[in-house]
Amino acid sequence: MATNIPNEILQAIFKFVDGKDERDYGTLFNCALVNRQWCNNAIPILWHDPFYRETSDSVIKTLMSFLDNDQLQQLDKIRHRLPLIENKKFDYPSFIRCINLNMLWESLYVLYSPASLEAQDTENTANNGNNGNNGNNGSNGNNGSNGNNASNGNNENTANTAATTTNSTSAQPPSDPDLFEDIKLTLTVLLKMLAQKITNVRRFKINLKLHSSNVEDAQKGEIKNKILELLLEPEISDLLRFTTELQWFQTKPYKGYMPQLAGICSNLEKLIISLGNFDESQTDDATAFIKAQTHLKELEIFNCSSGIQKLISFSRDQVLSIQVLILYHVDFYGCGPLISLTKCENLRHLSFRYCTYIQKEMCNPLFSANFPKLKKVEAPFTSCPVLEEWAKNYSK
Amino acid sequence: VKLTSSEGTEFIIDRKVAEKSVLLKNMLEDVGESDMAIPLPNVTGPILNKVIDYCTHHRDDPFVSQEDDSKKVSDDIDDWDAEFCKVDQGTLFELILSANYLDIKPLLDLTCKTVANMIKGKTPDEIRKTFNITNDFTPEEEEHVRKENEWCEER
Repeated sequence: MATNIPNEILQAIFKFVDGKDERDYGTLFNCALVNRQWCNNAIPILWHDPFYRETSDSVIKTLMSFLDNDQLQQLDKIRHRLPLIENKKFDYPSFIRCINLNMLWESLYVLYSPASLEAQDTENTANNGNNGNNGNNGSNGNNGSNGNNASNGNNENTANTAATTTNSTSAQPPSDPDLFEDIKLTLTVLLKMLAQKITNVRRFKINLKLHSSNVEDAQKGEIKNKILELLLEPEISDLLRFTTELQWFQTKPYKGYMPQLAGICSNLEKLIISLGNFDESQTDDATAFIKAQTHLKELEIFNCSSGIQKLISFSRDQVLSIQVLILYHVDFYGCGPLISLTKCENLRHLSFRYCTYIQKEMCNPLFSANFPKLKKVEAPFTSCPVLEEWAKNYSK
Repeated sequence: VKLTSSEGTEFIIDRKVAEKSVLLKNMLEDVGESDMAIPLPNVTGPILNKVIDYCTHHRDDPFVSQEDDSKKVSDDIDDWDAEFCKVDQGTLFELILSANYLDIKPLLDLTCKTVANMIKGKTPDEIRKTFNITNDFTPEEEEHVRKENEWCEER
């Protein structure tokens, strides 16, 4: 075959190898090892979403190798250095399209946890003994066909220094506060590097669970707030400025945060937001954030206990742009008639799932409205049998 | 609509069938009604025949826009399409190239899915054998790729 197969076709094939709901990293990685052309086309797809479902300290190690000298110097304060990869074959960070903040944090936690640091120290000691063999073995002299080689001339000296420093650092497991400072500092520097390298983030996921961090909830709240603040920093905020999809789960923003975020991030086409335990002012902030979006096509609201009417009272632009509205576990108590939805003439998918306290009077405007593009309507497990019936008949 | 393959063989097909190809649809819209045959120098007769079979079978399918490619799954091939793709590897790749050239997205997706299914679950060596590909990596290069992408092996 396949010597003459164009790159664009190989990429189209690899996207099917990769799948969508269940990503197949294993086979795609095997494709990357077939030959140089397959490698050049598979690697960018592999790196679209390297934190898909799993933490990975290996991903962090590769990403850290792309920090520039200034960024590496900022990490001088942390207690442990990592062996950095020299002569990187690809500019991996530039391929990333999906950023998962929680996975970045958790991966750093894994990397800096005492057990991991002990393992690194052992590995570094072993590597130190073998240093003579390492020389320049990654040199790409034969790699004429590869246009993607990472340029890393500036980095090499510092990279070497950083790796050497590792070997001379003694492994004192840091206490939790120190550990969090190390993680936060590293996260800051990594996000700055990513903001320089990635021009278009397709999906940004803010879901700060911080599962692996063994701290009280109150302290977790503080850490989450600090992480959220990072995203507003000028050198990082570009990551969100050009994001087209934001997923917001399990993260209560501090008061005033979301309107501030809206000043940066207002070009979303898709927003998935879970408002579990948001208080009234946080819900108002979320409403302001939604209102600020100028190109919103898809809105999914989860776990909303109050304020739904305000959340879906779309602006004049949004009334025309919105195509998908999914409401999941939403409490409609106190909501008035859903007149604003009847103006959404481009709506093609409308879903009320597990919605409570929704009543016929609220839905009446929908029943008589004309939605020229609406194809899919769902309302299973709601408190309103008339709505369920309407949805069933509509989809028929 | 008249089409001419690379060897000069002429094919006459319904306009609706021809319009499954975005390239031909645009050409026909630009040119309007005409008896002139459209030359397709990149497509051989036997492959054009297969492509016409596909477009005829799917002539009434709704148009899928370029952006509407959210479903990148490879296990949703129906029986007719699966049978259509039971061809030798050379033909399959020529079909892919023709679907790409003629801009017939559903056929391009189908043929790419078929190749993706041939790749799934195979080791690099098995993939090379299946498609007769030469490994042009040096051992050092291959090791480098492995090391920088260690995380893929963990999954």
